[in-house]
Amino acid sequence: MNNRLSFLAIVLLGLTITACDKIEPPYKQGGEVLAERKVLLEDYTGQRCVNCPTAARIAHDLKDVYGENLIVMGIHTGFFAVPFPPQFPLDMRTEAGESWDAAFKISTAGHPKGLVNRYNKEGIYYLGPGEWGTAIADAISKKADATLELEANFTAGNTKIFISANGSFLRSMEGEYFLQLCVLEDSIVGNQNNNDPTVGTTPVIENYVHRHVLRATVNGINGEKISDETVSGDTFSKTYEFAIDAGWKTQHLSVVAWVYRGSDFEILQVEEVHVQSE
Amino acid sequence: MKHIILFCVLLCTYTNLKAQGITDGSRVNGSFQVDGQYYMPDDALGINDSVIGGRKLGLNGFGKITYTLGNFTAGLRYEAYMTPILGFDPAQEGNGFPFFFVSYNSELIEVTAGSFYEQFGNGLVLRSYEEWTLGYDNAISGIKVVYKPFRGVSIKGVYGNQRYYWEKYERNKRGLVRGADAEVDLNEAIGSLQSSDFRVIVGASAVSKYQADNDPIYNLPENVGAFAGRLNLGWNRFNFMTEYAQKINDPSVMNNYIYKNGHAVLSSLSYSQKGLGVVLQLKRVDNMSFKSDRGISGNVLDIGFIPPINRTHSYSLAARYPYATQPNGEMGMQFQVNYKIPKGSLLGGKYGTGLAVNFSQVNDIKRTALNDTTPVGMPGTLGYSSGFFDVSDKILFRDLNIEVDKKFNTSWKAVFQYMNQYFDIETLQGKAGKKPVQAHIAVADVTWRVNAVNSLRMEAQGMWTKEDKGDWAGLLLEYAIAPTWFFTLADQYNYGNPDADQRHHYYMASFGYTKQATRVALTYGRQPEGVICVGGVCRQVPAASGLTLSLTTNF
Repeated sequence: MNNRLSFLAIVLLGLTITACDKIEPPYKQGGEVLAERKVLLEDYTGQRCVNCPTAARIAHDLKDVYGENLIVMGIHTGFFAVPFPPQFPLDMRTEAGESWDAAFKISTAGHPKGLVNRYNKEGIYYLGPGEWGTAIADAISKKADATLELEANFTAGNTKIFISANGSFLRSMEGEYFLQLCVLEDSIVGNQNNNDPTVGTTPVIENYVHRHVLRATVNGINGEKISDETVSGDTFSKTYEFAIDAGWKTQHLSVVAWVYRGSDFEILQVEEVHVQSE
Repeated sequence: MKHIILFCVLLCTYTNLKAQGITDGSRVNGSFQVDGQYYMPDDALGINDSVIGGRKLGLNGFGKITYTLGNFTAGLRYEAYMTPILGFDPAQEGNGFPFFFVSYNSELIEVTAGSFYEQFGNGLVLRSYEEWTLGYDNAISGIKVVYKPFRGVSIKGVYGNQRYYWEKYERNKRGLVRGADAEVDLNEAIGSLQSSDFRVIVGASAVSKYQADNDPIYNLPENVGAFAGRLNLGWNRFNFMTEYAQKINDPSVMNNYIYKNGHAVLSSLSYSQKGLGVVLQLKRVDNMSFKSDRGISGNVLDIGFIPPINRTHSYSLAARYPYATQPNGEMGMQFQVNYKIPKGSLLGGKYGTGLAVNFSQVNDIKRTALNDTTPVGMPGTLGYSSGFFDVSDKILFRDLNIEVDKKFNTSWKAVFQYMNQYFDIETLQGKAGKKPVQAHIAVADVTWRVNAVNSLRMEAQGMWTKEDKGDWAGLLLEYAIAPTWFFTLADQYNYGNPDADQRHHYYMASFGYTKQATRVALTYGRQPEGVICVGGVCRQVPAASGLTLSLTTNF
């Protein structure tokens, strides 16, 4: 008996010692990635959040990997997004962002946090930046449950956006389904707190470029219901006209739309288009 | 639910066995605790209905029971966070039985199946533990074996996955932990050394984690190993302890995905005799965050533990700026002398006088860029280089504190403390651009024992600093009727806040009742925003206002 246990202990020790993977350069992966659908990454952030530039870089690196199959939306919310002039005069908060922040407990958990296709595990939606990559890899490899086509064009002398969203469901599903549309402004320049010297200067990056910033929702905080119960092949078609804020830079505006299940907010399909000139 | 059924089955079995007289000599122990808070809006503190978010009540509670019969032990713990008290992670919300185990323990072997806590050496490569006040629990669920083949020799093996709030273990998600540790107490193992003044204990640990690599950006190691060796030497009144740990490449969100090996060393030299104790501790940590999920930050899923070597302060203002250990890099020392001035001497008086001087300082480590084009800590590289004695000029934390403990007569005693602290609030609390806090703190804690039953304690504190929220004053009066009642009135006043609108009083009134092993306390008042640290692990505490109820009992 004693000999057996000694043997077992030695085997366990040996297994532990040999269980090491030494990685040699290059440390970054290359090659193509397979995508079955598009995925939305919501990056909850704030201009005074010191860890948020590192998170934004992770989002950017993931965008480099997945290209147009990954749609990133920067949502400025909570304490860290409150303007603090003169150093932080920008107000990039939105009513929808604050509402989603509360619903998904982002500020309670602490920035930066992200949602990937609004998947949840045991009722927890938010993920730390270190979890985004694997969550997106999981999500993007799943078959899509819906298609979505989007067009967005300026009208009325670039003061309004005309949007059309069409799509179909690819399988029969119970429950209510909604269509959500948002307007994003890219490349807003302002100051940003930072504690990662590999991203920029610390403690403040001046003239930081805020990417993919949520500016407003087009059809309310919870979108518009498009189906009570879907049958494979069901289609939907919606059009909207949305007046933009005079302060937004029209050349940097895009529209993001997604179809989601009402019961758990899970996103079935997402699309983004740059707003086209008249 | 299945745990409840299991527990009921065990209870029925126990009842049945008891009827047959088989359970004679068995023991049941347990404890319960409930901490509840009722939140009230407080406009002055900025706590309005939107901050509370409609949440009026927070409740954290647990109950644990351990049953022992001979060599057999079984136990479980129920926890409820409905909703969690402010400052706890919202992922805590829920209730259930996260901890349950059965264990067999003989002189030769201890086997545990289920949840367990374990520590190898000082914990540098493995420490699983639970700290209720932080909401921290990294219990391992799996198998633990402790084998003692000879006197003085202990071999441990662990295999399992760590607790992550209420999330169930899923294959290829968070990692597995497996480890082994061997320790030999030579004085116990070798008969001729048993009465020697020279004492030697040696130990070695190896821990490995497995986590599948599904990352789309980096090539990541799926198996990460960490190893440690330790030595404890004792000679008469002297004791020397040292432990060195190394970890292979472990890119993670904690170290910004660098591939450098990690190192840590912890050493301590102490001397003690009646009335005198001297301790010198040294520590160096370089890239030693070791978690079972590389994508997770925060106080969860830690496999290794970096022990703090700073004094833990108990007085509220002295503990306002507590040091949180920096697993990515720190180099520190602590020196402490405790001396009891003898009775009958000029300064010692009739009862003697206790003196304690403690100094600790922690600096960042010095990091050198790998080449001219790669910034220090660049993700997807080896990060940086740092020699074993390379210390940065950047001071993270410094604390000089002096304590005098004096009993004047049978009725009066007092503790006086002075602290001089330096706290890099930008690094340690993430407050960008804020200057390091340099604070002087003084405390006088005077107790008047009116008679054998009644006593009155007064605690006066002051903190003087130009940084952060400026000067504070605190006063506490506590009347105790031994051994059952206490009544407390306290106020902390942030009179030196640079923002005149933020110069708030944080008043508090509480009372408590203790009978046998049960204690209940009710507190009404304000709680200032701050940080709670236990063992170098910290939790943010937001400002709150309202009513707090705490109930604990043991049996």
